[in-house]
Formats: sequence, C-alpha cells, structure tokens
Amino acid sequence: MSEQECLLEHEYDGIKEYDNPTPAWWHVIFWISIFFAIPYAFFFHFSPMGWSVHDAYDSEIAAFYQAKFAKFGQLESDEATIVGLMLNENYMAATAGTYQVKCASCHGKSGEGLVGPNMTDDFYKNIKTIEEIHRVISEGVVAKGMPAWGRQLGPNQLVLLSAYIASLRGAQPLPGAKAAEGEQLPPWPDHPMLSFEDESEDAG
Amino acid sequence: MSTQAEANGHTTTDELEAFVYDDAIVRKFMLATLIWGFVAMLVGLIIALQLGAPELNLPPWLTFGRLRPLHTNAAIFAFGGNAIFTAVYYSTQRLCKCRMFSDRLSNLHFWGWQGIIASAAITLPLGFTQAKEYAELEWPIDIAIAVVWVGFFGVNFFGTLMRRRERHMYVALWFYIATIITVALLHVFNSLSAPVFGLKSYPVYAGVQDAFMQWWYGHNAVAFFLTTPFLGLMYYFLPKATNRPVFSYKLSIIHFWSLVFIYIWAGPHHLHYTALPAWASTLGMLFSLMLWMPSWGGMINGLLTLRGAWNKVAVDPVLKFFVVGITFYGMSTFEGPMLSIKSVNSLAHYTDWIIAHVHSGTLGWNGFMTFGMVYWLAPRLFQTKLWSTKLATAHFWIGTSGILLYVLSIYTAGITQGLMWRAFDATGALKYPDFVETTIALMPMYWIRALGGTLYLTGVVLLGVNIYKTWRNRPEKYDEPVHYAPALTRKYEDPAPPPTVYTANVEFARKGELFLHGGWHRRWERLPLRFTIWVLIVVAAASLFEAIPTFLIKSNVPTIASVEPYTPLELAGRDVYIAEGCYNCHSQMVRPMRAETERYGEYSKPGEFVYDHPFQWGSRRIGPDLHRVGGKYSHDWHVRHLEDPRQLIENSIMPAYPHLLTENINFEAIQRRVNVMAMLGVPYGDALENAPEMARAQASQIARELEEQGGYLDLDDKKIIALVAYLQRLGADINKPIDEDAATGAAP
Repeated sequence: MSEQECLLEHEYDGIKEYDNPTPAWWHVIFWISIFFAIPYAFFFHFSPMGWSVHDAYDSEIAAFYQAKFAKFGQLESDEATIVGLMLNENYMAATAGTYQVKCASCHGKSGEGLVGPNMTDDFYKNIKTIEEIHRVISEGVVAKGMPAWGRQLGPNQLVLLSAYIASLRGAQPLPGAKAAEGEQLPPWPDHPMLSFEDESEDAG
Repeated sequence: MSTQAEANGHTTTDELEAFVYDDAIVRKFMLATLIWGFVAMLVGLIIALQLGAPELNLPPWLTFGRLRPLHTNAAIFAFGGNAIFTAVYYSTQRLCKCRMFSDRLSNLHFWGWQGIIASAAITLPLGFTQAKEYAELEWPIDIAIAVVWVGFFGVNFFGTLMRRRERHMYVALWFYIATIITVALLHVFNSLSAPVFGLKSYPVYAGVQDAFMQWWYGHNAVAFFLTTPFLGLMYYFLPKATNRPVFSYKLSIIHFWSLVFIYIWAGPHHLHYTALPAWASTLGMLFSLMLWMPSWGGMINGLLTLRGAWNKVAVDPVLKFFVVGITFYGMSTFEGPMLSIKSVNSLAHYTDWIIAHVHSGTLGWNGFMTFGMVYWLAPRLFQTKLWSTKLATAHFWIGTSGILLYVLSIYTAGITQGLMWRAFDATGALKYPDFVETTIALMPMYWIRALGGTLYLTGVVLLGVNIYKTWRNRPEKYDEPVHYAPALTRKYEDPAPPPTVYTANVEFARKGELFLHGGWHRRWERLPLRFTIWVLIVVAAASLFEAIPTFLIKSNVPTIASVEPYTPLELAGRDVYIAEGCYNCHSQMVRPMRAETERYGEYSKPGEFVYDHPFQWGSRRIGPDLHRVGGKYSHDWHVRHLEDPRQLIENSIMPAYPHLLTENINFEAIQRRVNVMAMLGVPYGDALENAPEMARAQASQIARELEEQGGYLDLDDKKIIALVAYLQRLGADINKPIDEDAATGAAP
C-alpha cells in the first residue's frame, strides 16, 4: 500500500494523519504483557505453591541461622563459654560483622571508643567480671546511653558478641583511642578454647 | 467552499468568522519556562554539589533537605508546567481555529501559576512542607493550585474546545484533556489534609494508606504531568516541524486509551517490599509491564512520523532535540517496567539508579522536547529569524553530553551502592557494615554527575541568549494575522460507514469490523464532553479499583498492640524532622531482606505506621534507614551528630544542623498539633488536655539523661531535644516489653 492510499482526510492546522496499521510486534508484546499477568497473579496469590516476600525472607533467615548457629546448640552465657569462644579466632572473625553493624558507631571500629567507652584497655565502667559483659549488652546501661540489645539479637548472637567484646581487650593502643574510664580489672580467667566443629560434623 | 466541506462530511455555516490568535500569552509562558528552567536546574546543580561537598549546605535555609524539594517542584511544576502551558496555549488555539476562551482567564492562569511558584520558592527553604514528594507545598498553596488549575486553566481550555471551529479534536487535544482531568483528581485527593497552623497541616491519611495515595499521585504526576501533555506537545510540534503526516491514527487511538487506563494502576511499584499489602505491589508490577507497549506507541508514532524527514534532522536543531527527546522517552519507558519487576526493584530501590531513571526522562524527554519546541516557536512568536542556528546546535550537543555524563555516572553509582548494601563476606556478615563506606564509593560518580549537570545548564544559558537575541530582532509591532473560518453548526451527520465484507445477516461480525474501523471514536472526537467523561471514567475506575481495597480491607494493616501514638514532644520532634526534609535522604522502611535486617534490625510492619500522618518511608537512602534507629544510639550521640555529623563520622555527607541547638520549642503550640492529630483519629488521652506540660516533662527528662551521658547542658527547651525524642522512639514500639510498660514509665 502506498503512503498516499492510507492518508486520511483529517487535517488540523495543516497536520495530516496516515492510517497505518500498528506494527505487529507491538500487538504481540502488548498481549503477552497482559496474559502474563494472569498466571503470575494466580501463582503467587491464589495457589499453594506461591510464596510472599515474607516467606522468602523467613526461609532465607532460617537457612542462614541454621548454617551459622546450629552447631552451637544453646550457648550458656557463663565465664567458661565466653572465654572459650573468645579464644576461637574463627568464631571471633565470624562475629566481627555483628560488632561493626551494632556497636562500632559508638565504640569505634576497633573498639577504641568514641561516644561510648574504649574497650581495648584494661579499664571497665560497668562490669567486674567477664560474664557481666553479656548482661550489659542484653540489658544496656540505659541511663548512660548504652542501649539494650537483648530483644534485637538472638541468644547465641549475644553470647558470641560478649566474647567478641572481651576479645578486644589488649589490642594495640590505637591513635585517637579514648582515655581509660572506670576500674582496672585483672586479666580474663583461663579456660580452654571451645570448638563445636567436630560435633557438628558428627551430627551431619 | 461548500462542495469541499460536503466532500469532507462537514456541515458548517456559510458565514466566515474572523479571529486572531493570542500569542502574547504564549510568549509569556515561554519566557517563564526559560526563567524557571534555569532556576530549577541551578538548584539541581547546587544540591548535586552539596552531596560531594557537604560544607556547601548552609543551615537552616539552604540545606539539601530543604533545597531538594525546591529543585523537584521547580523542575516539574515551574519548568515543566510553563512548558506545557506554552504548548497548550499555542497549539489549542490553532487546532480549534479559535482564540482562547477568555484572555482574562489566560492571564489569571499565567500570573496565578507564577505566584504559586514564587510562594513555593519562599516556603520550601523556610521549612514549610507536607513532606510528601512533589506534593510538599502547604495547604494554602494547594488550594491556590486547585483554583488556578481547574478554575482558570481548565475552564479556559474547555471553553476554547466548546467554541472551536474545527469539527474533530486532534490527538494532541485528547492528551491535554487527560492531563487536565487527571492532574486535578490526583492533586485534590492526595493533598487532603487538616490544617494545624497557617502553613502547617497533617494529611488525612496515615501510614500504609498515605503511602499508597502518595505514590498513586507521585507516579501519575509522572504520567499526567510529564508524559501526556508532552505527548500532546509532540503530536502537534513534531508534524509541524517535519511537515510530515503523523504515522498512524489507529495507533494514536489505541495507545492513548491504553496509556490513560493502565498508567493509573502502576503507582504501587514505588512500594515493593514495603509494608504495602502484597496484592497491591503485584498489581503495580503487572500493570507497569503492560504499560510498556502503550508508552512505546507514542515513541513509534513520533519516530515513524520522521520517515522521509531524516535528512532534515541533520540540519535542523529543532528536529535533533525532538529525536533525542523521543528516544529518551522510549528508553525510560522501557526502563520503568523493568524497574517495576520486584527482584530488579529490590536492587534499584533507594539507590541512585532511580535518580538516573528519572533524569533520563526529565532531562532527555521533557527538557529536550521543550527546547525543540522553544526553538521552533521563537521565530514564529517573535516574527523574525532565529538569531543563531549554530548556537542552537551547540546547545544540542552540549546538552546531550550533559545528559550522558549525568545518567551514566549515576547509573553506576546506583548499582554500585545497591550491590554494596547487599554484599556479605564469607562468614555471612555484611561486607560493608559501615553505611558511610557505601557513600564514599560514590564520590567520583557524584562529581561526574555535577559536571554533566553543569553542561546541561550551560546549554540552557545558550538557549536563553539565543532567545534573547531573537527577541531583540522582533518587529516594532507584532503582525496579528486575522484568520477566517466558518462556525460549526449543531447538526452533523456522520459519513457513511465503509462497505464491509460481511453481509447484513452476519450482524455480529459486521459490528465487530465497524468497531475496529474506529468510526465510534471519530464520533467521540467531535463530542468533547463525552470524550472528557470517558477519560474521567477510565482514570477514576482504575483508581478506585486499587484505592477501595487499600482503605477497606482490615487485614491490610494488622494492628500491633504495643504501637502507641507519639508523645506530644515526639510529635513536635517529628515536625522538626519533616521541616528539615530528612525524608529526602533517609527512609523509614526496613525491607524483609537479610541484608537489611542485619544492618538495620527487624523489618517494618504495616501496623507500626498507623499514627504516621504523613508517612515518612522515603524513596532514597542517601543516608541509612532510620526506622529502627530508636534506642540504637545515646542522646549524646544524636546531639553531637546533628550538631556536626563529621565530629563522629569522618566522611559523612549529612548537613550540620547547629540551629536546632539554639532554636526554642514552642511548647504551647504543641497542644494544637495534638488536637488536630486527635481529630484525624489518633487516640490521645491525657495529652488532649495538657500536651505542653507533658512535653516539658519529657524534655527535661531527656535533658537530664543527656547530662548524665556527659553531653550538653541546658538544652531543655531546644528543638534538638524534641527531635532526639522522636528519633529515640522510631521503630521502638514493637520491642517494647508490654508487661513492663507501667514499670519503666517515663522512658518511651
């Protein structure tokens, strides 16, 4: 069909219009986009096989914590456990991320202190023994600005984080470290290093 | 004459009427377009530089949080708005063979709109805002917008349609009709709010519903303010500039109706993975995918109209601008549906990717279509040659390079930051736990973006010079040619339907063929009232299908027992948060993804926002999410951080807010804030009687705690205390031990 044949008689301020057909691919894609909607909506909202973003999140979290914490069972928050975990470098490396997200903004990236106290020296404001670190993290020292994390972190995360805080003690003095506050404590008590790797392999 | 009219199926009176087009009003709108375009882009450049160099924030009035709404409002409503009005006032008169309905309404429209823009330019830096994106202006200005848009612009436009001397309405007019009707609906229903003071109000909607309404509005502002009127512009000025017929009338019909119907549904794609109900999110995604082809219908009709005129593109800067403008329209309307796919959105949302997407639309499509129109109009409106075609071509190349530098750098920034936010190391911990690491990584891209913006703005300056010089060469007195056309008669007979291949006894098939032939639509084109009503039905129906379930289904927002209204002091602090425009950089919506819950805490639930008039979910995380910030830092940390963020975070790009440590809280005024909230249904008990006393008590409690933490003294009555109270409350209610409520008492 030549152009002249499909030129319509419409004219507006000199503007004319052809009556060309819409390209076929336009129709094809348009109809596909419409028909795609039906099975998609049915699958995700009306069929038992579908899942919501919250389902996907729950299974992601479950899988992650299964992999990360299953081997620990239910950790105690006593002296032996905290010291034992503290000595295990792999566990401490795995806990560093939690510290960076939750603690570093007040206690410094390496524990050197910022708004919150320095945790690399031998002086402590709110604890006398190593297991009390767990209490401070869980319940906070709200009057002094330390939040309570007991409801926001899991029980194993709290114990691991307590061990991580304890492990910061004795790091090399850092430039810009906050001055010592509180009382000097004797060195942490001795306990054997804890490792759960073999048990988890047996179980697996 | 009469034989020709009959041949066309026209019935007109024999008498010719004389009329003159009003080009003076077009010249005014065009001048306003250029001036506000320069202002909007200059403010854009300033805020781009503020991201790279935070010391350029000048608190209290010229911080990013207050200037960014000024940039968006000026770009959309001042630059875009005046460009639309330039196009509408020039083309409608000619398409209707009729002067505008009323010169007085034309001028009221012009001066009213400029007054609204001027009041926006004053109130936004002063911190008067409703804190809903692109709908920030406070209630008296909202009322003025409705009056000017409907009462002056709408009446003037539809009056002109009624008086037209052209039987049928051209496709450009369809798009103008859709624009006027839908923008009025969007503006009125999104802006419903209860005034508190002369320039302060709370929206009637809260939380999830407010978010839904806002993005119904926000997305359709893109559709019906930045798309449909510019398609109308394209349909008039492109065939005029190429002197070629439009490619396909059929395509015009099908893409017009599918566009206006489908666009309305797509808003919820701005709220994927949020507390919006899942069904709404799915609708938003599916309709966005369907929107791809209707949008591309406009692009096809534009680009294929250029068939046979491509040789002109090489020499004519007007066509260069149009071709690149339409191409950017095509790219961003492909990208939009792609970004609406949930999994793509999970990466792109809250990042600069969205900023890049928006700017390929605004700089590329809206900007370049406007520039093309202005270069085409200038010689006609000033009745002389364009001063310099070379300069216009230079503008084109500088502008195009500017857009490319802008969008490519910001795409890179968006994807970089999105990937950094979700990156985990081998132990399963966040690889970049410190948010500011992800900010530092973007700095080179931010500087390239600023360079791109500078180039684009330079192009606009060249345009201004060219138009000024052209204006200088105008004749002593403008020639005002008199046009003649017969008036339309009331009676009109449709031309006979074309012969069909089906015989009368296959009635069904014959009717189907006639429908596809489109004669019914041709009829609507000469019945503006019917056409307008159908547009209204289509957009209103699409809106109601989504809005009614959002408001009525209880299970959309499961209640949470421990969520309580903000205390009077926290409410006052929330209004400080709003006035400072914190929502421009901080979201309050933790999405259900491990990368987010590790970083911020438990994901956000719909029931947590039931007292949030307005919602503050945000759309871009230039800084971290704040929904779970309550209780995460000490008061002391917040005060020092707000006074100067770089005291605590070396590379922070957040503005400093020292004025909050010196400005006083107006405790007495809090009572009114509480009372208006109560009127909107927020259950305030004792606070209805003694909000000021309660606020004072909480303020001195916080000040005392601040002192114990070794922080500043004597801030009891300063705004910062209210803001800290609000921040410490954010997202904390679901962690509240319900039984111990009474025991802990004072600490919220």
